[in-house]
Amino acid sequence: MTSPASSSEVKYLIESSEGNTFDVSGAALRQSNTFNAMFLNIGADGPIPFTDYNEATLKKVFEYCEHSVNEENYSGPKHQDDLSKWDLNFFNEMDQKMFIDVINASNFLDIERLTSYCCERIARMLRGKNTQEMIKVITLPTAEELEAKQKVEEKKAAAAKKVAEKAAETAEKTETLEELPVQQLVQTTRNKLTRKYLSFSNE
Amino acid sequence: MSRFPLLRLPTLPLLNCIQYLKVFEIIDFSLLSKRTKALVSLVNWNQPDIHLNFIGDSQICLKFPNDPGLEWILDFESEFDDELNHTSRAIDGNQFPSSISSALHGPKVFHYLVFPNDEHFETMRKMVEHVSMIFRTPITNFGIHQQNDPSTMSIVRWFSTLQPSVVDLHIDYEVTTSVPTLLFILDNIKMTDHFSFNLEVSTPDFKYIKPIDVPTLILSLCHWINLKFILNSTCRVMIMGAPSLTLHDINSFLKHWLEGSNPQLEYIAIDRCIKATTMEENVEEAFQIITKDLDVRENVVDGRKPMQIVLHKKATYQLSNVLCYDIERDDGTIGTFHQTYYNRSDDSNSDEHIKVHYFYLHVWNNKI
Repeated sequence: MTSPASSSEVKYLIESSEGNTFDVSGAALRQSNTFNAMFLNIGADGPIPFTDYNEATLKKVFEYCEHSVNEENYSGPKHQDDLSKWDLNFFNEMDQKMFIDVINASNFLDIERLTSYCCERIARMLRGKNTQEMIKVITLPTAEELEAKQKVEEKKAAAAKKVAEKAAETAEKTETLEELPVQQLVQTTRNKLTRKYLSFSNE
Repeated sequence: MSRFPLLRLPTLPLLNCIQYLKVFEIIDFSLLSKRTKALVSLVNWNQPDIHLNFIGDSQICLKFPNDPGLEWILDFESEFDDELNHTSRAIDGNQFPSSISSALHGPKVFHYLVFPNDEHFETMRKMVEHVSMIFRTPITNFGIHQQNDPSTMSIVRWFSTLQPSVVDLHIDYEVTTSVPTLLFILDNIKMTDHFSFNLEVSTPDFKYIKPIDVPTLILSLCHWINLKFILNSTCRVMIMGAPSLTLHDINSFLKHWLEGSNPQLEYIAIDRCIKATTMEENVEEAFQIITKDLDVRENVVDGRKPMQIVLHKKATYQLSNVLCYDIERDDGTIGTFHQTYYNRSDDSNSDEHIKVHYFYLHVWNNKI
């Protein structure tokens, strides 16, 4: 739902995974390319559901967006040393879990500036380190984790195969339909349509 | 602080993180696991120029087009002092001592990642394959120096399994190579800009007349080359040391050229070696023979003739106007040639010292 105010002060309601809603300004939200692609032109009727992310994460992400509303358009990554005091505080006050959640949300919302700053910050963890030192700061998946991942992927592949088989079966049925005389085909199709669509066709 | 679960991030931010790393950090990161190697190779890199040098202290040099002032060199030193305080790097599960250093030469910065070299360049070869794979870039050029024939053959065999072509291949004149090595190279590796090669002298019966399909061919010792090879050639630049050519062959070549042979040719230089005691030649006699039945005129220095020839992408050569003569094709293309004799410095005190007859033809167009 949007608040009826001047266009620069338009507020949008955001819904988090907990079902909670909160306001974000249109200017802040427009920094999200995902929002721009999905809602900017058509508008949002009711709260915008970003329900894969919790309230704290979304508030943190939009806190950043609200702060950078008046900054010039994003023109490429900034070196961490060039970040403002506010930016540095923003990053420093997050614990690791929140930081990862913010990257994930920022990546989904496609907020270029925030995502790049987060990535540059991660890259700094690896700066000047060799393979052995890198292993000390990042977690590499264990053999068990890799095995579990492979199993999940196999399951996914099996599921995808099932879907493909079902689709092939449906396509076969459709082909059978197409072989029916036109009158019969129309009747069969009509029976499959919902009442709403039938009434639409009668109009 | 707990370790950061980097590989659990979504792919796009992960690739974004990798892009912020410096070249040696990228290589180190890619050496961590199969997954990190695959991830690095997904990044949309500005493809580097990769150059290999096989020598006692071998090198893999990387230059990125967006950073021309920087060179990243993986150095494989034969006299590597592993007692110094080095850090260990894992390549294919094996640990190698290594060190990083940087040097400033004028406006250029050279970063070195130094490893010990081994007898058969095994570590270097693994790193070449790795680097080429992660940056999704074929090797641009490679040079072989101070190697014996089996080593050269082993390197080119390995290289041919890696990629079918290379821009430049330079096999230094100090490298002894055999006919099988030469034939292997010609059959298996296509050079797209430049090929330099030296064949050892003990193969007097070997002749090669098929054209070598490369724009620039530099053969430092090529007794196996004759007139037929030159006339068949499609090269733009040919530089040949000691080919099997007589002054009459050069005369024939000029006549063929006037009739339209070697249409791509821009420059040919021939160093003919003559034993001074067995054959007396002098410039005037040589001039009479090579210009026989040709309409030759003295070259006029009027500023129209280019004074520089591009040998290949990495080298140009300044030409002189001294004692030059012109022949002209019907289409206006001019061939300016020059010839002279000199003694080979290393043999000048010997009774049978070697005299060299140097001839070049530079092709240019009057209408340009």
